[in-house]
This record gives sequence, structure tokens and C-alpha cells, in this order.
Amino acid sequence: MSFFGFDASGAQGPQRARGGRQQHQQRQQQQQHSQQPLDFDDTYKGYGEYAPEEEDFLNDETFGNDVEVGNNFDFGHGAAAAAPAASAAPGASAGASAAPPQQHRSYVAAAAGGVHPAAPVDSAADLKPMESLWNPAAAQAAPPAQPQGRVLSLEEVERQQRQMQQMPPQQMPPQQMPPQGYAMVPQGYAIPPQGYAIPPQGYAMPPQGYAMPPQGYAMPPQGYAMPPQGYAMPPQGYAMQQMPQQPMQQMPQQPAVPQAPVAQQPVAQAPVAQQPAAQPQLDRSASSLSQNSQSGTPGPAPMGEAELAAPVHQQMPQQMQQQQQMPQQMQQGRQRQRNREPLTPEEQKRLDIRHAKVEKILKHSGLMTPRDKDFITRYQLSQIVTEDPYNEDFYFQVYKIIQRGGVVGESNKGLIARAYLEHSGHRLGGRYKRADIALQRMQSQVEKAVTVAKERPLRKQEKELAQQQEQEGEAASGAAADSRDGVLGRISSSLNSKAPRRQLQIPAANKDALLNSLLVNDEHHARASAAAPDALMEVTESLGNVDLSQKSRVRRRSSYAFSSVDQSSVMSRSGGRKFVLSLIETVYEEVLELEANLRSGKATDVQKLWEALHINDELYEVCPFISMLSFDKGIKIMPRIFNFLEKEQKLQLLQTFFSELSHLNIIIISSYKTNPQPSEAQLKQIDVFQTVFLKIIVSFLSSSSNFIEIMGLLLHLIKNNSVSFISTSKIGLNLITVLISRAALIRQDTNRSNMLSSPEISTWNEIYDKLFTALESKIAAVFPPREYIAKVTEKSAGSAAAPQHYDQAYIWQFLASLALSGKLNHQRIIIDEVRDQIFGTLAEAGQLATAAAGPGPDAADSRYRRDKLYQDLNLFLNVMGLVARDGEISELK
Amino acid sequence: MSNTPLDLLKLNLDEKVYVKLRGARSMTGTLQAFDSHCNIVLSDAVETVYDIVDGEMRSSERSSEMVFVRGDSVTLITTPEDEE
Amino acid sequence: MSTVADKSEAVSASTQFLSDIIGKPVYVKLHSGMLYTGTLESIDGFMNIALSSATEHYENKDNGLINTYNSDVFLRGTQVMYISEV
Repeated sequence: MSFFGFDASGAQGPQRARGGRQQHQQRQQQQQHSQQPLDFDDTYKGYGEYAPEEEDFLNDETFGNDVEVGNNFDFGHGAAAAAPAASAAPGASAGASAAPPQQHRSYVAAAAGGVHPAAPVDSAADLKPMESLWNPAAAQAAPPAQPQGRVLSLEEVERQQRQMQQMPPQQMPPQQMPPQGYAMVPQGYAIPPQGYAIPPQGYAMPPQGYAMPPQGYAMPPQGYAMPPQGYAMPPQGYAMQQMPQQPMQQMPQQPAVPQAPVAQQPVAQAPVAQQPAAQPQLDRSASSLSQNSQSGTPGPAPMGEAELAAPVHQQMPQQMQQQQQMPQQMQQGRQRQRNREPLTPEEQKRLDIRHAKVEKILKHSGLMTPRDKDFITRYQLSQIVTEDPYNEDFYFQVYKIIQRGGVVGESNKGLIARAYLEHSGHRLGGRYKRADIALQRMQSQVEKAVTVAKERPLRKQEKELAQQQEQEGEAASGAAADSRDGVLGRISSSLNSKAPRRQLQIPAANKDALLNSLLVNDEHHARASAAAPDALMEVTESLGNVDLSQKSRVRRRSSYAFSSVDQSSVMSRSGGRKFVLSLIETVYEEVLELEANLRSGKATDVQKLWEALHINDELYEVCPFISMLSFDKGIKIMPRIFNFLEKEQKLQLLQTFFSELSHLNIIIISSYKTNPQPSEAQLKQIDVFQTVFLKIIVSFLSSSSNFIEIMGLLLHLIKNNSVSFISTSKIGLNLITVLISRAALIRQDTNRSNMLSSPEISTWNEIYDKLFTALESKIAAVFPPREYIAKVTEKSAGSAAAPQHYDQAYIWQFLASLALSGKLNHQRIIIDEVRDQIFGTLAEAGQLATAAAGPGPDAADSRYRRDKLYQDLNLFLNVMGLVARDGEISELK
Repeated sequence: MSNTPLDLLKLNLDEKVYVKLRGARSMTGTLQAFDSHCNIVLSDAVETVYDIVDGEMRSSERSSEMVFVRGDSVTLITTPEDEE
Repeated sequence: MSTVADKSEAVSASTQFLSDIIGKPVYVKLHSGMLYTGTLESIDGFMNIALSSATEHYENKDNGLINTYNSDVFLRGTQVMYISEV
């Protein structure tokens, strides 16, 4: 499905366009190749036989006139490959093992295909066009019900068939059912069909009626839960009509090629649940079941559904004409209805309304392919479940483009197409996401932490700080860091006392015992504190081992000493560019295979993928995994890798990542020290990294990692890297922020489920001290110099969406998180070091305030920027109980 | 690992490539797809045409978002120097 | 009969040659007259060729160096006139 008539996902990577099975075979071949001496006859693949190689005269070969050209470039999507698969595997496994379901059918293919034999080869979901031919279960299903005792005219039979075809899935004749091979229910209605409501791709129900303006039947999805005897409950027919399930077979009849999916609505599918011939007589249906199963016989000829299918196809060309005849047919239908069974006036009225609706809807019938409906359903769903509704909303994106461009002209058609493609996904799994999503999440994390801190009464905060300071004086002896209120009574507020008097010391062991006894009721806590010591010991041990290990020393020597952006030197120390690229290819293959297995319900074994990642590869000076992240495609595959890895593996991966941060290309190019003049491409790369990888980290940290693991990661970062260098890079700073703000949140959360033990607290304090020591006297260096800002602003000015000024929010977030975790003396140091920047920001805001007061057209922009500056600055100041407003800093009330 | 030249070419998917074409032309762009005929699809492509005017080599450039290059005219594919 | 045998022998000899020179420095001449020198990374039945650390000359190595390629160079088989070991 694509604007260009070929599948964009297929075009991305010819090798990947194929199903997992072919991939696998291919890989096996490759493996064989690597083991045996190269035999050139193998590499011919038959091409050489018809290659007279006379320069340009390769038309036949290229465009496939009677020659086998392979499917590397098969935009039409593996028709040749899929067909044999279908015929070779008649069982239920056919759909499962063949092509992956994201293969779409293009409009062009649909229009060009015309006749049916071309259609079924399209994808796995449609690989079983005539299931009845080999599936006995389906064959047993009866043909549609006919009114008893009445001989239908040919026209009526045809119409019935067409209606059936357009019916909601639960009433479809068997050959049109989704290929999973659900046991079919005859048209006899007594048995509610099982599973009819499950679309082939297995996502949840489309909440139809959502965002479908033209028809606006806002039917609640609960409709599905009801039995499908639609007669007594007319609206259900509509509730079900939008199932994205109509099989491919109906597609080729569509003469119109839609320009953009936005314009199309799933309601195009006529409900016709009230098919006259099938009026269910509830009281009779049970007893007439057996009759129904033979009800094909009263028709002109006995028909099995395989035969039934044929006339349906043949009538396709007449479809339009017949639609125009609908009114008369409706009349006839109603007439017949009356003949058969007198209706109450109320029923009759309802029936009329229904028919009117059907008529109205029918003229749009079939405008969209099942894929289109699929696509739309997915978008409507994703819009509901997303955390980022604006960016995930395809309609909104298109609306924005149209708003910007006025009308839909040639110019923004391209943009719309682009939005579509970005949304529809491709090889890199790259659904369009803006970079700030990850940042937004991080920001909200910081803000949340700050808010919690802010909400605490100031006095209490001072008290705590004082207490913590005193405990610090006790040099992390494992003393109770979390026994605050009440234990010591009132604390003197001499905040700056250099050598605080030891007021009370509780032996750590006792404290732990006390804690455990307190928590004994809570299983979770009990387990957590039982599990803690081991992991904690590890952390503490590695803390004690301040000396860098041999390996990391070797790595460290050259890691951040780059005088320029030198990707190749890092690359060469991890096996070379080619090696890393081939690793990425292997990883892609593994991921694709795993995804194929997942889809077909097979077990997924991540071992091979894990090996391909080379996380623990000690052979190279720089871990090859780190170098993989030098490539956009290496970054973009990460979310899909994370789908499969075990938690332990993810943690290990992140440990490696944080350990070798200095080698990370993205750190190098996002640091103003090593890359003072970033190119547009590099800025884009930074963007990609934030969008993809930072997001993974944020969600991993917030969903599945505990305090000790976060400390461990931070420790890996601090021990093996120069923190002051990393903090000069935007990405690096963000990564540190993510870790410490998450840790701060967990610490604040102590009164709820995550009670931290005192060793944990003291370990944290130690780690924080290390971090702070590494940063001390260089904190101001997190602010990039003016020239760098100018450069970045200038570069990103080209793209329309980018802000025209440098967004320093990430820096204030970092400072806020740093201050949040620190004690009062830390906070003082931070303020001291960034004093100039604070006042600089205030001054800038003051200037903007002046500009904002003016009448100029920029006033609104200035006002926005001024507010933004205050907002960012206050995030940091609030931590200390301060607030900046109107050019002045005052105490937070 | 990799064996045929096309397998090596595959490593360049989604990466910038430099493609030399017949008729004193070249093209750089991100390799989106290719096949065994060397038909290739490049995104963000820049075509450079070299020309000799009065004994002097000149070049002109033309860029396009997405381009399909027919395999016939391809003579060489490699990584552009600034990406190495 | 003998011609068939001869032919298959010839084919295997040429494929033998091609697989023997993998990893060795080679010259590759294209129809356009361009001469590429480099290490043969791989070659297939279409004469598609991958060279590493390749240099580019016109017709003859004695003519001026036109280009040096630091990463792998892919040469399209249909354009190849000949390949020979250095």
C-alpha cells in the first residue's frame, strides 16, 4: 500500500523484503559458501545463461520477459515466491510460514490485477484463496441460507452472493473467512461464530466510529460482544462492518484508485447484515439448522462454496451497474420479505431505514482494500493508545501539512506522501517519531522529581539536608540515611557546620534487621531486601575498586582524546567498518527471523541474536556493539532488538553501552569539544539517536530496572569514562540526566513501595560523590560555547520544524537532577559554578520581555521564548526552593 | 561472512554511496535498494555531471529526493570519501 | 563428445582462475577504459567485482592517478573488459 504504487517497505531492502524462510535459506547458503571453496557455478544462479552482456541490451533480463529474474527488486512483492508457498503448504501452516504480513498490496497492483487469480498471492493473510479445496472443515460449512421453499432467480442469487460478500465477517461464506481456518458457521445463525472478530493481524478491535466523520456511527465496540443475530439489534450490523477483514478476493473489482487514505472511510463496506434472504427467524433457526445446511438445493443448482465463489468473481464487472439497480432490488427484497413473513410495522420501518442506509453506503463499497482498512484501523488505534497523540496521529499530521500549505497543492502532496510513508513504516521499523519524545519523557521524569522535592515543606527539606550532611560526615558508614523524622528529634539548623557532631549512630546491621522486621508483612519488600545484598555487594565492591581495570585502562587511554571527529579510528579498533556493517546485517537477519518466528507462533531463541551483537566481545579494543551504534541503521534496529532480549541481556547491553560511552560516535559528534562544527547530517544523526536509543533507555530504566541496577549503570559510566568530557555532549548529558533523575525518583519514592536499605543509600551517596567530583569545577562546561550554539542554530534553521534558537532545556534538566540528588553543599557548588549562566539567562529573558512588550510581529515569539527560558531555569532553581520571575530570583513560596 | 560482490554491496544499505555512471556522471545518495542488475534506488541523491568546456572540466549538480538508477549505466559503487 | 569435455574443462579452468586470484592484487579494465588496481575481495559469475584499496587510472597505470578508494569498490560485471593478476 503506497502512494507510489509499490511497496515502500519492500523497496528498502531487497533482501529483507522476502519472508523469513527465504532469508533463512539464503543464510544457509551463505554459510555453506563460507565453508566451501567458492564454486562459481553456484554464483551464476542461472543468470549467466541469458546474459549476452551487450551493454544496454538487457531489457529482457531486467524487466523479466520470459526470464527468471529473481525477486530482489520485486516491488510487486514476491508474487512468484508466495504462490508456490501457498500451494506447497496447504495446511494451516501455509499462512504462518510464508511471507510476513506487513507485505501490503499496492493500489496499483490491485487495480492492475483485475482478475482474481492474481489476488490471492498477495500475502500470508490471503494465501488460501479457496480454502474449501483442501480444508475439510471449511468444506463442511454449508452454503448460505436461502429462503425455504422458494426458487430464486439468477439475479437474486447473484445479489445475495454479492451481499454476502459485503457482509460483516460473521456472516461471510467460508471462502471469504480469514485464513486462520476458523470453523465456519453456516448461515443458520443459531451458533454464534467463534473468533470472527479477530482481525488477521491480531490487534485489538477497531473502535469504529472513532474519527470517522462522514458516517459517524459511533457504535461502542461492545457491540462485538453480542451475539451476531443482527436482526433484532440493527445497530450491530454497523458496529461490525468496519472490521478490516474483508479478504483480498474482493479487491480487484475496484475501479477507483484512491489518492489518499485519509479521504476513505471504512464505512465503505456495506453492512447488509439484513440480507433479506437470510432473515433469521430466531425461534425457527435452531430447528432449521439442518435444513439450512442443505439450503443450497432450492436454488437454481446445487452449489458447493467453491462453485459459489466463481459466479461471484464473474459478476464483478457488473458491480457498478448493479449498484445502480439497488433501489429496485431493495424493493423486491422487501416485497419478498412481506410475502414470506409478515413484518410488524415497526420492524418494517427499521428495515426501511436499514435499507436506506445500506443504499447510501453501498456506493462507496469496496473503495478501499482490506489493507487500507487495516492501515486506518491501526492508525485510529495507535492514536488512542499512544503516549504522544499528536505525533502518532496520522490525520493530525496531514492536517498540519494542509494547514501550513493552505490547500492541497502539488507542493504539499509530496509532504503528505512523506507523512504517510513515515507513518507506514519500513525496513528500519522507522515509524516517524520526533526526537523530543524521548526527551519529553526524560523531562517529565526530571520535572516529576523536582515537583516532589518542591512539595516538601522547605523547613523539612533543610532539616533533612542538615541531617544528610551530618551523616555524610560519618563517611557512609552505613548509618541510617532514611531514618529521618522523629528518631533524632529536632536537629540544629547549622547547615554549614564542617564537622557535625555525631548525634546518634545505629549499627547498620541492627538497622537492617529493624527495617526487615518492619517490612515483613510486605512480601515484595522482603524479597527485595533479601535479593539486595548480593547485587549490592557487587556494586559496592566495584565502587571500592577505583582503579581502572587493565582492559578499561587500555580503552580509556585513547577513548576521549580525539582531536577531531574520527569515526574511522574508533571503527578500526572494533574490527573495521566493513566488519561492523556486516555485523549489523547479521543482526538484521536475526531480528527478522525472530520476528518471523514470533508471528508464526514459533519459539524465539535469542541466543544467535545475542551472539551477533558481540556485547561481550573482548577481541577488539572497542566493543563492536558500540561501533554498530555509529550507523543510523544500527541505532534504528535497537528497539526491535530490545523486543527480544531478556532483561539480564538488556542490562548487560546497557552496561557495555555506558562503559564505553566515550567511544560512542554519537557522543563524539555531539560534543562541542570534539565536534565544534557539526554538519547537518550529524545533527540529524544526533536526532535519530535521541529518538530511538535514548527512548529505549528511558523506558527500560523506568519500567524494569531497580535502584541497584541504575547505580550500577551510573558506576559503569563514571568508572570507564571521562565524565567531564561526556557532559560536554548533549547526548552524554542526557544520558547522565536519565540515570540520576531516575535514581532521584526512586529515592523519593521510598515511602511507597521501594524502601531502600541503608547500604543502598550510602552506596548511592558514594556514587553521587564520585560523579560530582568528576564534574566539580567543570559544571559550567556543560553549557556549549556561543559559537557552537550559533553553528547548530544556523544548521538546523534549514529545517522548518526546528526551533530558531538553541534549546538549553536539557542542560537545566541535568543541573536540576544533579542538584536534586545532591546535598546542600553540592547545590551551593552548582549554583556557584553556573551563576553566570543563571544571570545570563535572566538577562536574556529580560531582553525578550522588552521585545515581547513591543507591538512587533515577533512579540508572540519573544513572549514564548521568555516563558520558555523561565520555565527551564526554574526547573533548576525550584530544586533549591528558588524561583525566577520577572528578572528576579526569589524564594519559592 | 560475505562472499559475492553483491553481498558486500548489501553492507552499504542505508548508507551513503557514491555511484559512478556511464557518460561522465556520478551520483551520491543513501542506498535504499539494489538488485542483481545493479538497478539501484537512492534517496537524497545528488547527481554530478562532468563536462569539458573550452578544455576545462566543469561539473553541475542536480539533486532529487529519491531516484531509481537503471543498472545499465552503473559502472562502480563505493562509499563516498567523507563517510569512510 | 570431446568438444563438450573441452568446454567444461575450459569453464572449470576459468572459474578456477577466478577463485584462485581472490585476495590477490589485480587489474580490472572496464569498457570505458578505466583501469582499477586493488585487492580482489570477491567476484561472482557476472564478473561483478569487489576490490579493496583500489586506485583508478585511465587505460594505463603510468597515466596519472585519478582516484584512490579507501573502502570497497564494487564494479559492475557488464562493464568489465578483463581482470588480470598484477
